[in-house]
Amino acid sequence: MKLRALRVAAFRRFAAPVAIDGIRDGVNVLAGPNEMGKSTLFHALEAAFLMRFKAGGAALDHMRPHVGGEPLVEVDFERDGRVWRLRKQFGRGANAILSDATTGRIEARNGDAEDRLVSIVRGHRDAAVDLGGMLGLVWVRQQRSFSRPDPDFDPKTDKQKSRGIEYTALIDAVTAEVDATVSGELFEAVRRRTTDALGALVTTERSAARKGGPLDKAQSALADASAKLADAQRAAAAAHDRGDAIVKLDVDLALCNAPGAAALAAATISKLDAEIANAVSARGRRDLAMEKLRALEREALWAEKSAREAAERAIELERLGAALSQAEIIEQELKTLAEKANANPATVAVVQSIVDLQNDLTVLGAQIAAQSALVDIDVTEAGRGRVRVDGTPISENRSLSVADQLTIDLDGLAAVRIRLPNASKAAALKREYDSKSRQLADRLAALDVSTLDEARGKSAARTATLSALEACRLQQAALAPQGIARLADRIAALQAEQTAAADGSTTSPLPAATSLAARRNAIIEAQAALTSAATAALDDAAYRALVVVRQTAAETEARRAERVADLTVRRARLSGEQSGADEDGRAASVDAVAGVVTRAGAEVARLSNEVAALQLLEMTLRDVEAASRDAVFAPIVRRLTPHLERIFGAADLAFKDQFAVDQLTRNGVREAVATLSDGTREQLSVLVRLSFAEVLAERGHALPLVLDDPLVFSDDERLSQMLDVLANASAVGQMLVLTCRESAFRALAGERLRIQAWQPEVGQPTIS
Amino acid sequence: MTVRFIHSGDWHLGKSFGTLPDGLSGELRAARFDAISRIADIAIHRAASHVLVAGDVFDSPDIARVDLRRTVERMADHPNIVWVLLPGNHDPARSGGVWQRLRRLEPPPNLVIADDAAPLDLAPGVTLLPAPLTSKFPGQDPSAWMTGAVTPPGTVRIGLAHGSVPIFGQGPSSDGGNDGDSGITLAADRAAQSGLAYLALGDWHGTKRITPNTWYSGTPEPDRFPDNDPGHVLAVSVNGPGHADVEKIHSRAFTWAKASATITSADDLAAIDQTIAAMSKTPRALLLNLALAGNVSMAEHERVGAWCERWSARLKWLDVGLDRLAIRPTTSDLDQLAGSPALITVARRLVAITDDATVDDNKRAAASLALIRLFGFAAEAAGEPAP
Repeated sequence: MKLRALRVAAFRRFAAPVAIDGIRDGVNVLAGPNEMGKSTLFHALEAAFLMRFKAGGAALDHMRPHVGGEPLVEVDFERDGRVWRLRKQFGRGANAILSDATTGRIEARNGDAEDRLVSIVRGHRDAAVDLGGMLGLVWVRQQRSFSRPDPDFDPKTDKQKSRGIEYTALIDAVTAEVDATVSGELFEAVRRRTTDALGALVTTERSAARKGGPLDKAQSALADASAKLADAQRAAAAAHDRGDAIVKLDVDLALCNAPGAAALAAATISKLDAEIANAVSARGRRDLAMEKLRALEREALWAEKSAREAAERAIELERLGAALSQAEIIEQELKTLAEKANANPATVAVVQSIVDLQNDLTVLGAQIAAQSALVDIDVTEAGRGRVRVDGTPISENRSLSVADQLTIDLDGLAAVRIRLPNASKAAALKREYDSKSRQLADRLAALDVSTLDEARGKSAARTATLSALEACRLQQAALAPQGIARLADRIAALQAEQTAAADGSTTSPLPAATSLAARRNAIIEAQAALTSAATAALDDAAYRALVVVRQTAAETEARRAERVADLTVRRARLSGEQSGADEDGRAASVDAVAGVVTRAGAEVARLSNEVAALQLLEMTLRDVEAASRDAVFAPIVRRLTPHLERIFGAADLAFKDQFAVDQLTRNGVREAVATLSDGTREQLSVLVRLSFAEVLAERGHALPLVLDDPLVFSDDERLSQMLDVLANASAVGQMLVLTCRESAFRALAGERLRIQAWQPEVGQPTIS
Repeated sequence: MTVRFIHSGDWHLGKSFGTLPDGLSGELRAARFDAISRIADIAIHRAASHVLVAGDVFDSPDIARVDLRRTVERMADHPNIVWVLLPGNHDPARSGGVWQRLRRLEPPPNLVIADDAAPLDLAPGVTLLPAPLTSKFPGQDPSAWMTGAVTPPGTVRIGLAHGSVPIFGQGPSSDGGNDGDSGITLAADRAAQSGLAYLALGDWHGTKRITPNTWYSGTPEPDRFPDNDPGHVLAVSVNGPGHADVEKIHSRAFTWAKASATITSADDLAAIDQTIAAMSKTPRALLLNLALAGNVSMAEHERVGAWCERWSARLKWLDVGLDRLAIRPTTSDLDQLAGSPALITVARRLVAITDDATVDDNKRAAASLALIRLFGFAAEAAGEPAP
């Protein structure tokens, strides 16, 4: 499609009708100052092709000039060698007329005209496809955001705008032959059915079963059935375990509760008890025998000792008895001798005193004699008795020594007194002499002797007695050192001991009098008895072992009885539970539920297979489509690459979502488009649109590339390069550049367009 | 003296058939109980006084109480027949097990539980030597005791046992869990060893003669797709200690059959039609497991699907395995996609996956199903006006 003319009236800046005619193939430049109305013309162009003639509201207001009026737009365009004229009257009396510009013949009106327009421009049978999107690819408004080449001509009022239009447009418009490959209807129908079928089964992310969908239901059914199965299996396992447990309990019971087991255990225990009783009594007998032997042995020892002691005592008694007899004899003699000695007072002292007295008397006599007158009286016969000396008659002659006085009475005849001069002394001596003489006489008389010699004889006899007495005393001391009484006591004590010993031990099995030989025999017998009893009796270890055996047997039996009771209770309980489980019947349902699980699992598997198949189909559809789309992309990239290289050197553009440009890679550095400078973005935008236009042209759907005030941010050098690219874009059938930079674009060779006054035809062409 | 009895076994009463649809499984469960009545009729017709059931009377020791009751009532319906039931590996005689549960229901006197390995007088001069199983895996030949069993001279000795016997050159008769599934090995010459006039065996679900007087009766009512010969009982006449006449009698209500076929076009289905017709006179009593293999076009595949639907409707049950039936779209199949070369590309890619031996089976199956869906969706779309 190529534009040939654009005419407007009552359209924004152009209250008065203006026309741009003579738009040629190749580059057309409309240069002029800012206020010239280039953007209004761009707006008008879009309005002609894209705005419904019945548009109203803000969109209509936006088209109206300030001074008022009803906007009119008329375009002449050529398609496949035929020139068409589209005239759209907006506002009051709105209408659209499509006519053949050459013949003036009206081909369609109003809605039909708009529909025809689309199919003519697109050359496509599907009029439903949006024309705006398509034109938006190649009609670039002033400072249009690069990344979103929307076709809307007024952001405030646009109602056609929608995401992805450019993509759809390109798919639809660019790829006539791609359509032939990814043939729209059938392919889309299959894809839609695939997506729907899959969507019924799984979520959009394809990650899980769709809630409430068949797969979800099947999975739920499987989960339910599996839970039921697990439950039934648990019940069955429990029932089987109980069955096994019952069997095992029965076996255990049979083992530990065999018939007669209790009786056998009781018999065993009572037999052991009897054995223990026997053992106890045998051991008692053994102990008694041992005790008897010990007693006999003890007694034998005792008997021997006491016999020995008795013999010793007898010897002692004999000895002591003899000593006592002797001592008594000697005692008698001692008594006799003592009496004899006592009867003889002629002790040596006494005799000596006598000797002394005699000597004294002798001395005294001499002294008296010396001092005294001797008076001899011879008494005549007739005088006997009658003469008295100092009163004492005398009968015999007498010689008297008179020491002091003497009176001799001569019987009455005379008294002769003799008196001595020293009569006093003589008298004293005489008194002493007389005293001593009396003493001597007393002493002799005491000794019953008359003379000293006799006294001496008697004293000698006494001394001899005393010697004999001493000899006896010595003998007595040897016989009874402590005296006869003590000796007698000792004898009595020994005799008492002897008597007591003879009485013997009270525990003695044998009479005390039993002979040692008899005892020895008794011991031998007791030893034999002990040996015999010990043989019959268990020793301690064996006895203890026997007791342990009995205890063990009793404990074992107690445990057995306890175990029997326990097993019986457990079995009863399990049987009860088993009956309960039987009634429940859950165990019996395992197979049936397992079947349900199998079926549910098969259904899940079937649906999963369905999902897998549909996903594979979906993926294959997508892959094939993507391959086809790559076939669409390839020419755009091919076209774009030399342009990019021309402007940026080695560069590469990354397309984001469908045809939106995402990144520019320059010199190996990736840059997000949003971060690029305005100038660069603007340049990229123009280059991409140029490429789109080239590809469209290449596919036989050429559309004019319309650039409204492009490259305003570009520096001179870059601008020059860009203009060079545009000038050489011969593949684009037609290019319309609206610019206010007249001098800058002077370098761009091409037709220079002029805005001229226009006189629109009044009224409507007739339809022929 | 002639003794007549019916030899049966492997009743598997209470088997759930849970993998089959609910209605069908109910019918199949009921058919097993009905078999009791059919056997009773056969016994009456053959003037047999006893029915010896050689184990696996019940499918599971966990059988529901109501099913036990059903069994008792069925047998009570025929008071003149003595039912002798032997515990098998599915229903071993265990303390607290299914037989004790059965006894608690106070079964009628004509129901005899042979759960004791001891001589059992069937009739004057006729003694049964049963070999009940006391566990799933007894680990020894439970029939061994028969040889040492003492019976009065001239007694007819009949053995009743459950397990597999080694068949010369083939190992045990059990096929490893499919039919004879007990894993219990019985001496094949037990009858000769133990002086048995007849040895009635169970466990092998098909009817099988081991020796002239040692037989498997098989199950009276098939319970799976077999490769043996189920669905019979044996009417046995023993004439004195040494000789038995055995008659095989049809007893099943349903026929279970397996078939497989390789097809290259839907025309081959006609031959299968004939095969199926030969399997059972009454298709409604036939359960068929059919495996189809081969390569067919998309159009043929659709015809095969319709054919399967028809047979599913006619038979009691049809289980078709199409896993090995590969789809090879023909040029005319692809013409359906002529409106979109891209769809033809898609179809070719999917076919390539189904042909790629290096791709795992799941993905190939998915590709095969994806092809079916592709053609289905395309056909649907073609049948509708364009949007």
